[in-house]
Amino acid sequence: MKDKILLLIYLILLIFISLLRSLDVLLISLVVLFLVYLILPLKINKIKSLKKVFFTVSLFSGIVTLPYFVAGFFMGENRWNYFFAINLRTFELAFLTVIFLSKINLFKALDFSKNLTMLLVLVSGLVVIYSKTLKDFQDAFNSRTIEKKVQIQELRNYIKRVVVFFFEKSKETSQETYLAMKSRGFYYDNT
Amino acid sequence: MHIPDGFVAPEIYIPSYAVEVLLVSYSFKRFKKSLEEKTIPYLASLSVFSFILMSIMIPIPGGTSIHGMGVASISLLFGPWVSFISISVVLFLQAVLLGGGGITTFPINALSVGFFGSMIAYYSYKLFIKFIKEKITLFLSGFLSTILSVLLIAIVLGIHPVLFIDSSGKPLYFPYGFSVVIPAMIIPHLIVGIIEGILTNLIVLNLKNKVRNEG
Repeated sequence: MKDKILLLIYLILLIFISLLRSLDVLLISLVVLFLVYLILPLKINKIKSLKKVFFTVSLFSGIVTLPYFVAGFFMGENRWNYFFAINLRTFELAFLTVIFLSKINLFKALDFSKNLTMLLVLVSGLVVIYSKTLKDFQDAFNSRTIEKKVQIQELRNYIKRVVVFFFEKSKETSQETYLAMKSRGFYYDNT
Repeated sequence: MHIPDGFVAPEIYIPSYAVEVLLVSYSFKRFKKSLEEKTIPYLASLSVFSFILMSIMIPIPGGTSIHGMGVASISLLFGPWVSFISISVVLFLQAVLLGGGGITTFPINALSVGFFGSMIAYYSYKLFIKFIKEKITLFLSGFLSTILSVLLIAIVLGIHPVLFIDSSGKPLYFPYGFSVVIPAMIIPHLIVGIIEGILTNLIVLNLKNKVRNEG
């Protein structure tokens, strides 16, 4: 229940911050959020997360807002207010997400649907395993093509192998997962 | 769409969430009828397979590389509704767990790439296969699903400075109108569309017999 309440609070705050337009209110709410971030015991490296949020937001938000701001400068339009407001809001929303996602157990928060939770648990676990295998494929391909230009035929063969491998693996995983769920009584409990 | 939270107005993302939830529920029920107990493991495996297709990096001239989306391939191999639900699951996990894409931009991505992209891929294939060779049809299907879903995202973003402005006429959310955002998004995605078209061709031709064999 705790996770569901936290998720609800997060969603309300997300909408609330999205609606903020005044620069002063955005600044005050950012300071409050920052203090909460410092005070709350979170299971993350706070400085590392702060840096990550700052660089990610600066990069993606900067790509959109900086050209708009610079264009305004040359057109004699003052776009400072917009530039600060949108970047503060973006930073604040990213910050809010980091705080709440480190406090919420997402799978418990979404367990109003047993099927949905099961699907998310399975996919998030499999994504990690499959990503590692894909990285092995990529490393092997890179090591074979190092110091030479990649030929189109080599690339085609590589993609074909990867796709067929993961397709077969997905098929096997699907069957194994089904049997595992059945043997553990998932379908029995569900009815 | 790698746009962070804050650029999309709640008046856009809240209804988008509602539509996304309705469509996911509908497609899940539709799918569950035919697969029953195997629905969850099958969808989970397909979602992870979609994730892998999205992660395959293709080197392009200039020393960089880009990734396809795999939407057209999944849609053509397993059907547009299955594709929509798998892509939605992957995009949701990317937004909340893997830090790719924002929470507020998720429904727009899921509806445009997952739903619209899957439908375009599937129905454009059905349409063109009557007149054009399969290889070219597959390419077109991948290309069109990418370009048209990006166009939809560009329209959603471009409508912001029309609908959401302050009293002095300045934008409150995404700042660029249609005349800027449409070419700015479509032109770079032409390369992504071409890559997606080639990947769709390669993937579907290699896997379609295996899918048929499963019944």
